[in-house]
Amino acid sequence: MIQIKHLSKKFGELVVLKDISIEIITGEVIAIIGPSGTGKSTFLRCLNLLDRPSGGSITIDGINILDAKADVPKVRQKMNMVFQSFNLFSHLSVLENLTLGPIKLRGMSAKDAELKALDLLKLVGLAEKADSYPDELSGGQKQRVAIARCLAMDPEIILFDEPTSALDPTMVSEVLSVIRRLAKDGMTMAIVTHEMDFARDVANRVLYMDEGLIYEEGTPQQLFDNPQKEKTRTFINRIRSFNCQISSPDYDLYAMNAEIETFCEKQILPKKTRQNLLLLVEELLQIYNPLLSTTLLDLTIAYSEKKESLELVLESTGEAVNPLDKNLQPDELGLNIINNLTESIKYQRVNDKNRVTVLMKKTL
Amino acid sequence: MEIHTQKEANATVVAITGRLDAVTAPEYEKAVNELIAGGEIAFVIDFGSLDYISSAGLRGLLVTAKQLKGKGGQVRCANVKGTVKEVFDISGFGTIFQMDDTVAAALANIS
Amino acid sequence: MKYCSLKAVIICLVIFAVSAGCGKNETVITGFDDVKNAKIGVMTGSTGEGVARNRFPQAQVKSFDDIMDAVAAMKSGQLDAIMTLIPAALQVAKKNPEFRLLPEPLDSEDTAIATKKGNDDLLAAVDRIISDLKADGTLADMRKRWLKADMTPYVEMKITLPKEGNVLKIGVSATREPFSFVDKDGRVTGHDGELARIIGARLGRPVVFSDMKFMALIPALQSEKVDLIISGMNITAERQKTVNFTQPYFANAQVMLVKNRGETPRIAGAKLVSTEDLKDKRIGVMLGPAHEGRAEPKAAPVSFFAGIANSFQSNIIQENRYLLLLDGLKTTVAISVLATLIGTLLGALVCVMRMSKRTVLNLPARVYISILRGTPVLVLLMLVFYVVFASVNISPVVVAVIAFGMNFAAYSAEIFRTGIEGVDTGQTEAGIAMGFSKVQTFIHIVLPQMVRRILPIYKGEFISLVKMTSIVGYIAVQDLTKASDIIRSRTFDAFFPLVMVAILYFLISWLLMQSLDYLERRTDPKLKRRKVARA
Repeated sequence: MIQIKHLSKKFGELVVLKDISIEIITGEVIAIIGPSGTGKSTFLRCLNLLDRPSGGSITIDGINILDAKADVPKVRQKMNMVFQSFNLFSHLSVLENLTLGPIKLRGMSAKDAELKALDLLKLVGLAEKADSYPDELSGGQKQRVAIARCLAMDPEIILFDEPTSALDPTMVSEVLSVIRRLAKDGMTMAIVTHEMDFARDVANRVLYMDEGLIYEEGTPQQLFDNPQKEKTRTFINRIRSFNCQISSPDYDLYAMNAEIETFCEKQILPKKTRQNLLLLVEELLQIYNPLLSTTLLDLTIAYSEKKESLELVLESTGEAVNPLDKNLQPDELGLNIINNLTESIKYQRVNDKNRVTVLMKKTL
Repeated sequence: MEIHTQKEANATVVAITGRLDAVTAPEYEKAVNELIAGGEIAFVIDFGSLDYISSAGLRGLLVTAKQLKGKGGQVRCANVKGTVKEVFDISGFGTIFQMDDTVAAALANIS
Repeated sequence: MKYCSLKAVIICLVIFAVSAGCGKNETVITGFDDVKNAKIGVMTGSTGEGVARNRFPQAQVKSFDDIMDAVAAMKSGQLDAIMTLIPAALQVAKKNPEFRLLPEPLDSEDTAIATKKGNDDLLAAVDRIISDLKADGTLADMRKRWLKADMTPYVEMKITLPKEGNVLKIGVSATREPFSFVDKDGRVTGHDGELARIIGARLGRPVVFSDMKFMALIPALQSEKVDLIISGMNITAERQKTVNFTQPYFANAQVMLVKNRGETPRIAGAKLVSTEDLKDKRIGVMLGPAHEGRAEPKAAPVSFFAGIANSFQSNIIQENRYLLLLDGLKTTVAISVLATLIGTLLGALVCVMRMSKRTVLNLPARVYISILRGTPVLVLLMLVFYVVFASVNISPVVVAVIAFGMNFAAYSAEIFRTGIEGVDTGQTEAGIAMGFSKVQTFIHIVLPQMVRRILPIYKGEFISLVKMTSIVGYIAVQDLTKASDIIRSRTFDAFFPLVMVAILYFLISWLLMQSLDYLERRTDPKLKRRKVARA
């Protein structure tokens, strides 16, 4: 359906896309993942010419849309886009957002357009919001309306540019479930996303983009469970871990708690696990606290989906000594709690650093 | 964290809401110390609205309890439940303190 | 409610300002010696200005555009004396019994008609007519009819002017009774008005008056906005450098007008004798009745409300003066609304250019905006009238619309730009991604959001435009402010015409604001639904 050959894009001197060639087949759901700033969104925006490519060709149904003669607005009607920031027309009601395109661009009668819009709103579960205005909706509702607005134009493909990145974690699932449903109905989609579970679930094909290229591609199983290239592997692992550095005894516990909570929400960890993790982190830091004026502490929390286990790695500078040594503690309160929350605690001296690896007990 | 104190006939009830952790424990100590300095020697700590406690919080409880002991006073814990109870248990704290199910029971047990 | 109290405050302020001058201890002036250190009012650009500075170097000389402004200033105690030409001074003294003329004239001057340099044919023709008028006694008769000290109505000569033909454009500053003023039918009349018509009749040309500020007369003549200046203009060496004068048609003099303290006779007519015409007994005769008339005490002190009623009668009702205000009102509204329309359209164009990425378009727009915003609108108005449209026969109302429209365009272009830039780029992208062209996206998506966003600022600019139009009198447009000037020049009453005009400006602003408010409500997307909900 869409052939992309040697697509490149430069912003001035900056090369964002080097050389991208790929074919998208009707009914396919493609997830595009990768670190920020590697051109995922630019790739999507080049597809419908919101950013004009610097080179290469994009052929849709046999027509090269980069040709000067191509009717670009007409092409765009066939491949609508869902944005990270929703971009609902703020002066129009939800219903009018859905009818504007069909009426003005496809010559539909107002009545037909409204009936269709109401159907689509039912599909995304927002029929009762037809007369609301965008500023009266939650983020998740806005994005569902934006998806319905896309559908109103009967597109052949929908491009999703990080559809859930601007949402509160609580609203992510309502949007994802709408997209899942579209995938089930056979809609062709290209989705730039950071939701790995979602990408794994919904996509037929996953593209890992890095260095302005499609660095690695494959089925979700291939890419997530058995990435072939080093960079892909690092990325897949890093997305599942939380990392922070603490260099002063006056660190902000609550700010860190909030970050850890966000991490937990992303991994969809149960509430009990979250509470235990937060307690464990506080107790560990409490023990490190007297050392923090002189040492640098590096804390990594990693979640393994396969093993469903949480591993904490604490690396600290300073002389070779296990900071969790019983004899160094004023009382046993903290250690008691830590021991009760963990499966195993390992101490190693690695690279002139004291590394403590803690495996958390599974919560039942 | 918020602390509410209420003077009863034979003791002062201290109700703690929110989190008792490394950040808030000093506040708790300060509030109870002020009461002790004001002549109160019998306390019932109400944990009913406490969501979270860490070893730092437990240590705060311990410090005030020791002070009271020196003055011949006493402290009882009421309403310890849920996550807070788990932390009490795993740290071995449950055995150090005298625990009651309700504030009323604790007040009745103050001698 | 709010507006009512606002009105009350305005009125109170004006009353306070008017009454504030009363009761101050002022210098009593009985002769020129007393003037040495006094505050003297003169007319901007008049010969009196120079005379005052030369004769009384110690004095504070203050310039006024019109005699009635100086009179108002003296009434409120800001001036001790006014230097002006004898016809105007007589007129003031006639209508204000608390003022009188000092007996000695300060100089003697000749009043003549001015033509553009190089227009020798017209100069010669008019000069011949004046010779004739002198010879057949017409001029003397005119003096008798127009320069009189009693309050009886003026008798105007019947003159039949041709309806068709090459129009003779007369520049006049019609706030100088009895030489030139506007009568109850809105015509320019007076000694000079009549003279202009006589000349028109004798030349066989229809006459059109351009009524403007005195100092604007010579520029208007040079830029051929007018053919002749007949407005009590005196011959000076300075003016002769830029224009040509006919032979004098009136022997004039600068005199001093001071407050009457009652201890000296009002006018010592016998001493007003230094120039040829003033020696003429007819002038003496004219002065006589004036003296008698004023010897009677005018009226017992009137109550405040009776005073207001009197003022209302003389300023609004008498001579149908409200019609003047009404005409002025129409002009002000017309200029404001048209200038706003033109300014909005031009502003949109400038905005498009300003937002273009191409320097060819965007640079001129930037330059336009910074120059127009940095130029006082009065200066712009004069430039357009006297320079851009010099030698073009164009209605000054049109010039005003163009000048204010240009000014408004500079501001509205920037308002539009901030409005457009304020609309999130995501909105545009969503429209484009949906398949709208750039223009369609702008019309359906950006424009409605922009309008809503800029309306409050736009309203403010619009209201300030309405008020700014009050300066169009400089280029001979008879707007609301000019109408009040004309009334004040006849009644020498500052309070009523000004308050009246203030209220009218307020009403215009308020009404126009209401209509914009309506538009603002209409563009509120949620209004529709609220209506539906209520129904």
